[in-house]
Amino acid sequence: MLNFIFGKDTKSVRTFNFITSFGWLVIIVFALYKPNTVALPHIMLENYVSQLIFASLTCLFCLLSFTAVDYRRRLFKVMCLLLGSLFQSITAVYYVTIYPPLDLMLLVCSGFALWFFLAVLYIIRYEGLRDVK
Amino acid sequence: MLNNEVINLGIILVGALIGALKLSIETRCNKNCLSSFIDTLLGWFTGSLLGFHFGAENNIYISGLIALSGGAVGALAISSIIEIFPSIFKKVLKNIVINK
Repeated sequence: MLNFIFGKDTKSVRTFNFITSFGWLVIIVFALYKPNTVALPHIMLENYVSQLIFASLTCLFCLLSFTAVDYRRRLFKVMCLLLGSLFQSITAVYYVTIYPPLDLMLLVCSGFALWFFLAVLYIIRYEGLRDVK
Repeated sequence: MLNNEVINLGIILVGALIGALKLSIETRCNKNCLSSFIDTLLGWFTGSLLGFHFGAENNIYISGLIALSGGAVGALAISSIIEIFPSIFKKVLKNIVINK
């Protein structure tokens, strides 16, 4: 099933992870400097520091995963996808509402979080995280 | 009594433990038992912390996912830091020595 979803490697997923994290970084910074232009949940704007930290770390590890080799590359791949999954699930929490019960952004962010986590399982299954010296 | 709070607590703790254990076991052959155990504990702590801080009580599935990812991140954190910092320090020191 993982092979069917991801094919030969997870490069496209990591690229998408980088783009979404960088996009959120830009949107949050933009919302802080021009508050009335972007409609974000107020809880997200109150906790903007943690969001910025997670987005920056995800982008950093994505870039490292594209440039590293061997064992480090696999480690950074897993780290960037895990951080991406964590970031997307935290973003999804900010869209949780009592009524209506399912916001579209909640579904989208949860879907991305699950997709990135499945990519981690793919890397562990087919590439492994063992540094054989 | 199984109310929402107890279920939320259980899902976060179990999710964090599973995430930490999985990643700790996958990187086990690079380390000794004590290091793996510490990584598992660190992952469990990180995952639980993130799950309780960022989780939502009326949406326990996302809290569980946060705890799972957080546990996995915590278990890999030390390995990642060990891999990043020596190479960065080496490059910085090399540049400083060459420029001088």
